[in-house]
Amino acid sequence: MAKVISANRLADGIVVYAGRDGSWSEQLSQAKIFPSKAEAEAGLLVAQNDAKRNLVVEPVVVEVTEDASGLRAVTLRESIRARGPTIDFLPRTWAFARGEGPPPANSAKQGRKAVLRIPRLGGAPSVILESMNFMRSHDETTHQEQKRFDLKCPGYRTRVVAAESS
Amino acid sequence: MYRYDEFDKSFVAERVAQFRDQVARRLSGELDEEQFRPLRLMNGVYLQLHAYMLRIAIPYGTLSSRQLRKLAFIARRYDKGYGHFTTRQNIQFNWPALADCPDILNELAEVEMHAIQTSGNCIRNVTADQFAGAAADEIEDPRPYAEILRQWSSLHPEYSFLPRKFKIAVNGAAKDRAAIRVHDIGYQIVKNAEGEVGFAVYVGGGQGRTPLIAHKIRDFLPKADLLAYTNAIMRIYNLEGRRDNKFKARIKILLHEKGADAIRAEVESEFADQRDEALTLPQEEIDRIRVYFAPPALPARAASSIALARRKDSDPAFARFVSQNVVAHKTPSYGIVTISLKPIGGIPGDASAESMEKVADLAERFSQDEVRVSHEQNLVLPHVALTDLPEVFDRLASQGLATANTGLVTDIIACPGLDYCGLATARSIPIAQRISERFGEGARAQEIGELKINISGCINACGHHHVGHIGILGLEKAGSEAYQITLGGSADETCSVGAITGRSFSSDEIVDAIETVVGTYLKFRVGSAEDFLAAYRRIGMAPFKEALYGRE
Repeated sequence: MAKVISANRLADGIVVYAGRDGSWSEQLSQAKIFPSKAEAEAGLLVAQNDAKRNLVVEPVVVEVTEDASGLRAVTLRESIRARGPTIDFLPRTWAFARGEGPPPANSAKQGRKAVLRIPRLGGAPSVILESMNFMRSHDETTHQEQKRFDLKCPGYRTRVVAAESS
Repeated sequence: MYRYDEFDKSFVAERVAQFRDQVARRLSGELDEEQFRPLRLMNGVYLQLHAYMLRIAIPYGTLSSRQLRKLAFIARRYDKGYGHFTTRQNIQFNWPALADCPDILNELAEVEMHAIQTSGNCIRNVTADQFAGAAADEIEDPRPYAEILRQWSSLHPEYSFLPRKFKIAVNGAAKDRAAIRVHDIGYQIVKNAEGEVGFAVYVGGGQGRTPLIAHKIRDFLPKADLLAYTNAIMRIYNLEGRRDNKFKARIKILLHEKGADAIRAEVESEFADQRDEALTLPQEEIDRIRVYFAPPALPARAASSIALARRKDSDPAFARFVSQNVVAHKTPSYGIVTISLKPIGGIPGDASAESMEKVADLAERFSQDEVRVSHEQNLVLPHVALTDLPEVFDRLASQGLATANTGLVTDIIACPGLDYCGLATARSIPIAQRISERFGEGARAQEIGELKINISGCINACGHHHVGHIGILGLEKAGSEAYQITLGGSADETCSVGAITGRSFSSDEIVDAIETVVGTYLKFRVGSAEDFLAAYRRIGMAPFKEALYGRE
């Protein structure tokens, strides 16, 4: 089974995937695919280097499948790591403040309906978490947040960028 | 309310400064993850599935409006606009950046809060009955003693590296609202034959993978000996608690293995040996702390009014709220209002920044500036004049906070589960939401009456499933979520651990299975006065098993 490498970013804990260009991405779709166990283990060694360089913590190998709609994690735990909580957890006001606009009246409901259908993982390729796109919202770091972060950790991003491009 | 003195203030400020330095050293690479992990955990910072999680202590569940507003501010400024109240009177933020945590702790210190000892093998946040200092049935307010224990145990050098975590709860009324029998130590305030007030001491309760009910090891402990006796228990545990196996390291296992009588003898002997030491509490010290928790000077109010009576008669929703969410206060013209954080289909224990601010406003205006957090993951306005109830209800209703379901089937305790937690094996929240939607807020839930459903997403039992009247434990079975049902658990003074019904149910089946259990109860109960737990205790498991599994 195909594999990717995942970890949490040190500074904010956000889930990231080792990308094809040696950088870390928040999107599973950007992850580098390791077809075999041996290749994944080699990839993990590289990722562990990035852990030593304080970019990420706890890198692990994650099993994935690929179909027409792209990569998806095999286990429920990794699906949830990849796509965020399966519940409509954001207070509406917060989503609104982020400029995402108020959700349609029944979106929470739809979200939950989709969850109900989540079914057994490991069974037939399923429509897992299909209506969870609202969850991606936490992945986009706003400019303001990034600025605040830079103020707090002077030099951190420069190091990350340098490390990523090296 | 307790206010920090100079010592508390500088102590917390010092810890924030230390942690700021530690985080800076981690981000710069001076500390690696292995070195840093214990340091962050000591400050309540966990790494969960999607992000860091910060757990903040709310000692004995008491908050001022100012503190709650600060939590709302933190939710908005540093998180995603909400927080999650836990089963141990803590609040968790699910999305803080590590780099922001020192600033968050600094904000908390401004309102006399912190995250110290919300993790690690130390004495954790000391919890108490959420109605403390207000309930009509109370013997004495448990919070001064919880505060004394908190001060004594904070960064106690001897007890900072215990075999495992250690949880203490104090309850002040005959009705146990603090689940003391499932704590490592439970102190129950009692009055002895001479009319003196002291504590009955329960030791060795706990949930997790080995649920055990605490043993009473002493009928009456004088108040002055609270610390000396706790110290004796801690010494025995620290020496003899198992450090070889994490799963057998809690004091409940020690009690189970050696027997309550043996532990009682050891504790009593240790206690006798050190009785003259400096740990005996002087009355002045108890009085000094008690002053902080003195009952507020409640203005004299009428016990009822024409407007209140009319509203109850004409508005069934209001009448239901009063009968379900309001309980008797020490002062007859006042009531204690529970604000349910369990809206139908909602996430148990989650509160948005707006809700927190709204509740803070209400507390300031109608409840002597006080809010409580219950281990059932609800908020409480402890001192509300009965004649203010219509206005309080209207204001809560306008924010979607007036769900009248306290103690009902939809007042579900649930841990964060696999939606957030790195330890979880299955999701809890979606199950809670579906059950809540199934039963709703109408006549049906009323008809079912008092029924506590508790859901945990793994064997660690943060969702207290062992002591739910109906407990649900989420497991992973061959790559799928599976849910085991237990029946007959209870966390109150009649504490019992639920029994497993049989094979587990899939995510698709579980809500129907719960409905079957509830239906079986309704079929067998002797009138609506017999609640679920009473009926289960009378008829036992067999009818439920039959209904769930037939003759399979």
